[in-house]
Amino acid sequence: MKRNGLYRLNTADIVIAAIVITVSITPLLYSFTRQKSAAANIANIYQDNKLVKQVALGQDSVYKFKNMEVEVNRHRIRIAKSDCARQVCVNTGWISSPAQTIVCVPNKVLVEIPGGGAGQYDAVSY
Amino acid sequence: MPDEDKKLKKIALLVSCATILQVAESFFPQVVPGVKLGLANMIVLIALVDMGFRSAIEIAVMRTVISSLILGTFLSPSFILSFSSAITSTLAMGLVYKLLSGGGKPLFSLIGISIIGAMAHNLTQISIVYLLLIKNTGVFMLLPWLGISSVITGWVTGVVASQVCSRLERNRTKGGFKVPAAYSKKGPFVAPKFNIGRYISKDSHLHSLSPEIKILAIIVLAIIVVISEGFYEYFIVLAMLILVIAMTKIPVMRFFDGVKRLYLFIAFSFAIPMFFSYGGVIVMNFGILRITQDGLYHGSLFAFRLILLMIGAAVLIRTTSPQELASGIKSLLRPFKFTGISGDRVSRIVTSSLLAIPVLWENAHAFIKNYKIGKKKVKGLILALSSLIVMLYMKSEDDTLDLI
Repeated sequence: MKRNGLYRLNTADIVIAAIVITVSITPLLYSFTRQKSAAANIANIYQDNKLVKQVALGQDSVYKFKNMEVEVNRHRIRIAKSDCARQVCVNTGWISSPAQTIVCVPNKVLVEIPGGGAGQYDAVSY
Repeated sequence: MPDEDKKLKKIALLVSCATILQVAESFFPQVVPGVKLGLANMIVLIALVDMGFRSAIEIAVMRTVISSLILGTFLSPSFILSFSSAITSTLAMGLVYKLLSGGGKPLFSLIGISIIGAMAHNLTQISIVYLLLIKNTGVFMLLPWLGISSVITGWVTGVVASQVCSRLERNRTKGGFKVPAAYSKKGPFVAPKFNIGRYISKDSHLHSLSPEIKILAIIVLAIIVVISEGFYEYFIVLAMLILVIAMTKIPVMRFFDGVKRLYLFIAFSFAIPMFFSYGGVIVMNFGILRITQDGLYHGSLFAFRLILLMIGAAVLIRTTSPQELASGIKSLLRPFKFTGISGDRVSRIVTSSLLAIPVLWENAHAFIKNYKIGKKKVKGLILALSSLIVMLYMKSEDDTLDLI
């Protein structure tokens, strides 16, 4: 057995160790700094200011409340049916980006996609 | 003794060494599930340098089989995990060692090779956990921690393995390290008894059933459990298992001996989907952590799956002695002869390793008791570990040790 250099730490070892450590730490740092927008693929449904349901936007589905119906389709969410008088919530239509909301005042229901303070636009001028 | 027999004996004894180190390691509590030093892997790495790739992979695979026979986890979830990751980590180390050492000078030293091996080991474990046991992407949250820990454990393993290899080389040329006389025979020490297997002898139909049928039945059961994803099927399997347990005449509590290490794993399989599922009605809310109905459902489903797999394996181990299991494995491997896997060879390795383990265990125990660690603690520990492995390795080449 003559294995020159096999038993001594060399640069390649340190490089591979450094690569593995860096690759491992990056997602951790990423999730700490961008925790807000990390949750963009869910929607929260509040009733009377209380969180009652958390809906995954990745899965098409229909959730029925006592007097309304919330529909998820292709990463969008809307209130499909409601028994309120003016149907403002139904007419709001689909929402899909962070910070967008649908509100139904008579039923005290709020549908919100959490995260990302400013949403889709960096700045708006009139 | 012909050369081939000599080699087989050496492999069997190295398998025993690796098994002893793995079993010794399993006595220490696991801080994070899946994070272990990988002492057994060290033997594989040393064998890779000393004996070549074929022998290394043989040792890697056989030691998972034998330690599962001893710890009573054969065909259980933890066996599936250690079996598959032993193969991939040895493959990775072998490839790096063979391919990247062209021109005489290797690219990586043993430290780099063993980091790569540890990484392959961890990646395999987490993929198998995801594919077979906990189908929730939450398990990948562990990846960063596993990455960091594989650098640390790989580094330590590499340092000790380099030390062992260079000491072995020196011994062969100069003959410096002699196996002390006190260790080569039964010394005055009485090492704690090494229980092999968790077999409980009883007179039942299940005990007299042929081991081949039992092994196949457990494999089929495991496949059914992994494929089906509903409580309905699981309750049927559970009812069947309860019936089988009643047939064995073994007290029910004996089936739960030695599975304490798996409790953490079960808790983990319950907790991961519980905290990382979205959707469904919220049951409880703790700040960022929310428990939803979906999460609870999947968590209990995955925990149930693990428990079923565990009970199934426990029934096999409790009703079949290690020798019977070895002969069962031997005849079940017969159809695979064309791939070069010989059931005969496997069963010879199993039999001689099972014989060698108590002897080596006593030696290791006496060695640890007599060893004095110097002033420098960390260096002393590494030196102690490498001395222990050198001692065990030398044993495997000791012609006077007559076991086969």
